[in-house]
Formats: sequence, C-alpha cells, structure tokens
Amino acid sequence: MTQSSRRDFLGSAGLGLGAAALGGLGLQLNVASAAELDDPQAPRQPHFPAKAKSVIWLHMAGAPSTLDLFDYKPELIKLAGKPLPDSFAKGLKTATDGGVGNLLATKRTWKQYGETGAWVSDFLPNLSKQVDDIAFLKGCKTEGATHIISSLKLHTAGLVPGRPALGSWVQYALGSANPDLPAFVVLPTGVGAAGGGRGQVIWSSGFLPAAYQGTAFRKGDSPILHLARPEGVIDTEQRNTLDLIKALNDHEAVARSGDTELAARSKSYELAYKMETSAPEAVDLGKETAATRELYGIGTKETDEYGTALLRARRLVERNVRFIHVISGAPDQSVDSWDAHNNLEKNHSVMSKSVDKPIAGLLADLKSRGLLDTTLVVWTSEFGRTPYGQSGNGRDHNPWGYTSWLAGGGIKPGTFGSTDDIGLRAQTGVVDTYDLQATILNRLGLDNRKVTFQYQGRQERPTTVFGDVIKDILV
Amino acid sequence: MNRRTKNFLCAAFSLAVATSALCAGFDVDGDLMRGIDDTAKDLDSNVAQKDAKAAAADARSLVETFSHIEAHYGEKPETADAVGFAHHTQELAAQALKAIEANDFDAANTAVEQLTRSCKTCHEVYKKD
Repeated sequence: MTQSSRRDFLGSAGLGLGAAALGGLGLQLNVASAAELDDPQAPRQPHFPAKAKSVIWLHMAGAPSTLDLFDYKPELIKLAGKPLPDSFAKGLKTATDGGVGNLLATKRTWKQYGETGAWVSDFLPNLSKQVDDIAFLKGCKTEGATHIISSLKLHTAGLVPGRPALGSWVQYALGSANPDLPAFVVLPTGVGAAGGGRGQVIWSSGFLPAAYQGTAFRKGDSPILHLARPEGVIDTEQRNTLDLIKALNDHEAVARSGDTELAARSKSYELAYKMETSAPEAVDLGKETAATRELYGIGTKETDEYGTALLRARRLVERNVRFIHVISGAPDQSVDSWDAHNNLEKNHSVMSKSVDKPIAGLLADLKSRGLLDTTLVVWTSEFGRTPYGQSGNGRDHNPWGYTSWLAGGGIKPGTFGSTDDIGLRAQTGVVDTYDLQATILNRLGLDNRKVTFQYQGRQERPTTVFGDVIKDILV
Repeated sequence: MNRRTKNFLCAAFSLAVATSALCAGFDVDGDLMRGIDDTAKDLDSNVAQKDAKAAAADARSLVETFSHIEAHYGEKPETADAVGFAHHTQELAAQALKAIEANDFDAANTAVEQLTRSCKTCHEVYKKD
C-alpha cells in the first residue's frame, strides 16, 4: 500500500491549490469561494446546524457476510442444502466462480440483544452489548460484483476511478477544525488487498484539488513518512529556514497578488512544520490508561493492531479531525480479508475477532467521554455475501442485499429495513450507497445537493444526481 | 467547441439517435440507459448552473426518450408496470422543461430530483441485479 509522506502532502497541497486557482479564473465553487481555497484548511460553515462534528468510517474491506453477523434468517436455515429457489432468483444475474451453490445456513448461534432487540451472532460477543446505540440498515444494496468497482461506488459514488472520496468532499465543504492536522485521515490496518477494494483510490481527492485527499497515517510512532526533521538539523535551524523561505515568498507575493499557489505553498510549509509535533502527539497512546488500552484490545495479538487504529481514531476525534477512515485488513497471513469465498467459518472467526472488541470498545469509550453524541460511527462494506454457497463452505459477493450500521452523531438506534426471507435482496427500507453518503453529509450539516464543484463543465456533487437522506434513522 | 455547444449537439444527437432507433425498432438496453444517465447528469448540472438553453435541450431529450420507452414497454404485456414508470419519468422531464422555460430553476431542480428518484424506483423492479 502506498503511504503518504510529508513530501507528498506538500506536493499535494501545492498541486491542489493550482486547481483552486482555477476557481479564481471563473470556475464556480459553491461551498468554498476561491479565496477561501487559498487555504484549503480554513474552516467553512455548514448549510445547517450539524449533529456530528466527526465521522469514523469503519470500512470492512473484502465484504463480510452480514448473514453471519447481523441478518438472522431462520428461513435460510430451513432451506439449507437446497438449490436457490426460482422465486428468489428471478431476474438475478450471477457470475459465481464454480457455479451457484446450494443455500448455505449460518452455523452461528443467534440472540437478540438490548432494548432494541437487535439480532447479533456469536461472532460478535462484544459488539452485541452496544446494539442500543446502533441503527442497523438491513436493506442495503449497491451495484457491481467486484471489490474495486463496488468499493469505488461506496466511497466515491462512481464506478470508475476519478471521483473524490466522501472524506475529501467533507474536507472541501467544511475545511479543517484543527489547523495543525489534516481534516481527512486514513488508518489502513492489517494485510491483504481485499481484491483491490482498499487501495489509495478509495481515499483519493479525484477531481477536487489534491489538498483534499486523505492523509494515510502509518503504523508506529511516526505516522507520516519523512515527518521528523532530518538528522543533524535542530529546530532553530529549521525554523530559521522556514522563516527565510516565508520572507522570500512574501516578498515575491507582493508582485504576484493573484498567485494563490504561492500563498498556499507557504501555508502548507507551516502546516507540515506544525504536524511534526501534532501528528505524533495525536497518535501517541502513551498517556492512555491501561484500562482504556484493554478496552480496545490493545496488547492482545488478535486485536492489537485494529484496536490501536481505533484508539488513534478516538484521539483524532478529540483533536477535531473531521473524517477518519479506518480500513480493515487481515490481522495475520491466515486469511486475506473478509472475502470468504471459501471456508467462511475460519475466515470470519479470524476477522470478527480482530474487530469485535475494538469496535465495541470504541463505542463505549466515545460514549463514556461524551463524544458519541457528536461522532458518527459508520460500519459498512462494498457489498455483502450471498445466501447460497460457493466452494462448498464459502459465500459469493452480494450487492443486492446486506447490512450496514451507523451509531452516534444524531442517529436514532434501531433496525431499519430488511432483506427477503433468505437474505438475498433488500426488500424494505432499501438504502443505496448514495443514500448512506447523503445521510452522513446531512449529519455533518451538509446538503448533498448543495455541495458542488465544477469539473469539465459539469456541476458535480458528492452523491452525483442521487442520494436521499435516510430520515427514519435521524434523531 | 465549448461545453454548452457540445451538450446541445449531444442532446440533438441523442434525440436523432432515439428517433431513428424508434423507426428501426427501439431497443431499451444498457447503452440507452447509460445515455439517459449521462443526459440526466447533464440536466442536473445545467439546471444548477441556470443554463436554460442546455438544460432545456437535455429535458427535451429525456421527454422524447421516455416517450419511446413508454411505447416500447406498451407493446409488452409482461412489463406493463414499466409503462407507468416511463410515463411518470416522462412527465417529470416535461415538468422540468416547463420550469426551465419559465426560468424557474428551483422548480426545475425539484423536478430533476424527482426524476432521478423515479429512475431509481424503476430500477428497483427492472435491472435489480
């Protein structure tokens, strides 16, 4: 996976302002004026009062089987071993490698939890205790049957690369609430490629100025490549160098009053300088208590990496980072990702264990600190998995019906929508990825139809021409 | 050639293609749907930019295309509900056109929003996969 370095960041900021400069030449920037984009980090007002200040997007790359996690289907258990009935399969175009297998029952034990009575399988014993804070969207659907295409649609509302990720739109629309940190941070975890569905293309700024792309934080103490001062250069020297560069740039700027790139370059040097201290501090877990670290599963082999990422996410929320995109990966080499075309039981045992305790810990921690009310936590994936089997003991990709969930930030807990009796297709409360994106923007105080950027003559929006806010789950 | 001229020519071309397709046997296929998707996005953008000429051309193209789709499905008893979807979408495109011609871009915007919803509603039944 490509990691962002400080040089990349500087380069991006410079390039990005080139695009912003075009705004000054006549392109219409509805949310942010060209002048504001001189400083891409400058905070900008939402369209209406926001319910959430930050988003933590938990992307389950590779696509878990929500039929084995949240979507309990007794009928599927009853029909297990039989061919997919025509009544369910009508009009379905499948491309399952090796052919569509017979219906495959979940092997898990299921219970209803909390006051909301949400069904959760025993793959997620910790998360089941948090269901009363969660709104389950059980009628999700999308397009595409490959990880990369559906992942692009989930994150960028496009089926091909080139559109901005939702986090980029948020940063573009709202700027940064912390001048010392990027507003859109990506925390990739684990190993595996998840069929290409977790690469840099899903946090790209696309046609927006490059300054709005996600900044990927690395594991370890130094989250951004080349962040630290070069060896042998002391702070005073670096400060003097930056001051000299700034003085020369300011001098040059007098004769180039319309050169937004130059102004932006100076600002990006300052941001990078501030990030030398702010970024490591933001991800330093040294001051977290042993109890907090344990809550996230830090120190336990299976949950250590994902738990560390989620505790970092909470710390970034505390520092007013607007959009934190945590991408799941396999905790070890025993599986690749959630992509269980075969041996689903083994795959989901490993993957569920790696995320269950950390996610439950995150929700509990945010709540105990009073942060859950203003932090929107989103759990989703590029699609779900089929009720029919593949390879005997796995499941294929299912874009027709699956579960996602949201918690916190202005979201009303409960269960919304459903799939059919075997969990193949969304049946009620159908939610497309555009609707999920529109709802997230709404909680941040943004109208998805009013966030616009002109590109190649067309007024582009984060959710294209689609996207209806899911009003039933709003507080 | 600037974008607006291109849009106008594309819309005119789409109309011409749609008309000739009707004569030659109108096919409702993936190519047609991609064309509609593109025209709807252009319409949405042109309404947002209050470009009446280009927006009206897009809306006219959609009215025409959906009238052909309605006729196409009208010949197939097994897809009777598609006639209703196509008719409704055609009406929304006509509403958008009327609003654009009256320079009421708020009303046009509302009609376009409903039109794209209508597309999604139809696709809940057709091309669910």
